[in-house]
Amino acid sequence: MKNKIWQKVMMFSISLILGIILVTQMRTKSNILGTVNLDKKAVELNEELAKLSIEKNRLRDELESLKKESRESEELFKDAEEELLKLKEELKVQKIISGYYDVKGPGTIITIDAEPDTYLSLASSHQYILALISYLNNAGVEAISINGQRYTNYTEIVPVLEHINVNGVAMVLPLEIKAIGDRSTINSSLNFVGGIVSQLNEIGYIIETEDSDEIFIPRYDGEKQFKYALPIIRDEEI
Amino acid sequence: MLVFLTAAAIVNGADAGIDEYTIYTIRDLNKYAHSIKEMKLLVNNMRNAVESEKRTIADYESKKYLDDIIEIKSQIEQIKLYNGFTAVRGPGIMLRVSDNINEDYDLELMERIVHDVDIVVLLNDLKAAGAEAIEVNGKRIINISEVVCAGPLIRVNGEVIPAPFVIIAIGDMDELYDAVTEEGTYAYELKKTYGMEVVVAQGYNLTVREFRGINYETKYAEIVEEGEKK
Amino acid sequence: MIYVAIGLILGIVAGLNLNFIYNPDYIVYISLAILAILNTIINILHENKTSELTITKSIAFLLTDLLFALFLGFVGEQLGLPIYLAAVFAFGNNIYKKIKVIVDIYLEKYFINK
Repeated sequence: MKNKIWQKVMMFSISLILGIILVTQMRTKSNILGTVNLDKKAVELNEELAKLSIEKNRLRDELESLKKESRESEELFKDAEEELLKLKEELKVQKIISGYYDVKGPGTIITIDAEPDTYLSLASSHQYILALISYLNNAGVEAISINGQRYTNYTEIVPVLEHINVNGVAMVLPLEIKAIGDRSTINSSLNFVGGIVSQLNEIGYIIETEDSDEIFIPRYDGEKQFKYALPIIRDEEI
Repeated sequence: MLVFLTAAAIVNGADAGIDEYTIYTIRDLNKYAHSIKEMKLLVNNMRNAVESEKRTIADYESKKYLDDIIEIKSQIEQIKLYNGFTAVRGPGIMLRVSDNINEDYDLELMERIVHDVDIVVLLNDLKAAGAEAIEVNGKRIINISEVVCAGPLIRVNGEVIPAPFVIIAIGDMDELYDAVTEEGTYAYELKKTYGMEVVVAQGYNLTVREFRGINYETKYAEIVEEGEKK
Repeated sequence: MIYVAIGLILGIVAGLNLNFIYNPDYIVYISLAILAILNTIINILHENKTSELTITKSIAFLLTDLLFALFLGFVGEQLGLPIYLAAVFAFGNNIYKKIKVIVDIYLEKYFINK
């Protein structure tokens, strides 16, 4: 009795499993093959592989050449960046020299005055002022102003009556000359024995120098037109 | 019979080429399909990489540095012309000044020599007469030029120059000429009173060189931006 | 018999609904297992009709068939020879023989009068 039941149970369960496996097998097979049959599938896969290979090679070549182009482009870009920075620096220097921009920096303030009771005519000493400026330049000064007037490439100091005109503006004592640059160099350039300061002292002026960490020098407010000078293009021989 | 068939099948299958389909075929096809899928992914990644490289390149090229550079260069050229960093030519005068070599007992030695101050004043007078460009012995004089004594020589723009001093100035020929020859001018004094050699000539097409300082750079001065007033 | 049929149909239905999939690396072994199980079923049916069938025998049939089929599949791959074909043919042949015997028995049983 038990046997029969067991048999039936076994048969049933084995068949059940068989059924499930059958379906599973068919499903898996159709998953792999898709709707085509075996031989067509192999051909299909081969074709696909060939196409992919070709594309992979093409892409790899393209990628290589693009990478090279990108590196070149980056280099050019970096070079341009560098050049731009250098040019900006050069522009800044030229701007400062031109005198059309306010500047500030460390330097010295030189005050020229006369003793209270003496009479000194600035007009007859204008060469000393000019020499003073020359010696300031010798000390590598980057910007100069006289009583607020910026000393530019076209500034002239003209003696008028008993005073002087700088940039067309009349000036009398005391004269305050501001100079931005290296303070110790300025000092040694002005104060050596027989130098401009001692010369001025001999005439009777009182010179006071004061170092400062930040001097503000205003820009030149004026225009300049060239009427006679024409620039030479680089190709021409000088 | 069975054995024979089996053996035949085995032998047949043994030299199976691609045309034989065995039980392993489906499995191998599956593996094949998988590796193709992986390759597809790879190719896709490569496509993406190509796209991103293209974008990077476009990025670099879109930055306008080249335009900026051109613009700044032209600005610099303009300012340089004004500052004296460019050679120029035009009408003006040429002026030569040298020491008084005659034995003259009325004057002391120091008074007969051309000093830095003398040059400086001459240059200033020329400027006052409208000189637009000046040079001394080939050295362009600008606002930062020094003209100082260096023993028997004079140092200008960092280099020494000896007498005779040849000054070229471009501007209104007649005004410049008058500024160094008329009675009462400094040049007139040098010639008449101190006996120095002062020779002036006008010219229509004089050349004044550009300023050549030693790699000029500003170490102390900084431009003050708008609104940053003292 | 009936149980076989019912079991099979139920199995198929269950399979359709349950949506199993397995790793296709093993497809070889599953294929062989299908054959082996089919063979076992036929063997058991045959034993049922011809001689005494015990549980032990049934299980023995099942296990040996399965193991041998899988063994052939595995070794065949290693050797590079499709010796599983031997299993295929053997099983096929066996199934045919047994079916013939079973059909004979049934015919005898139900058509004695003919």
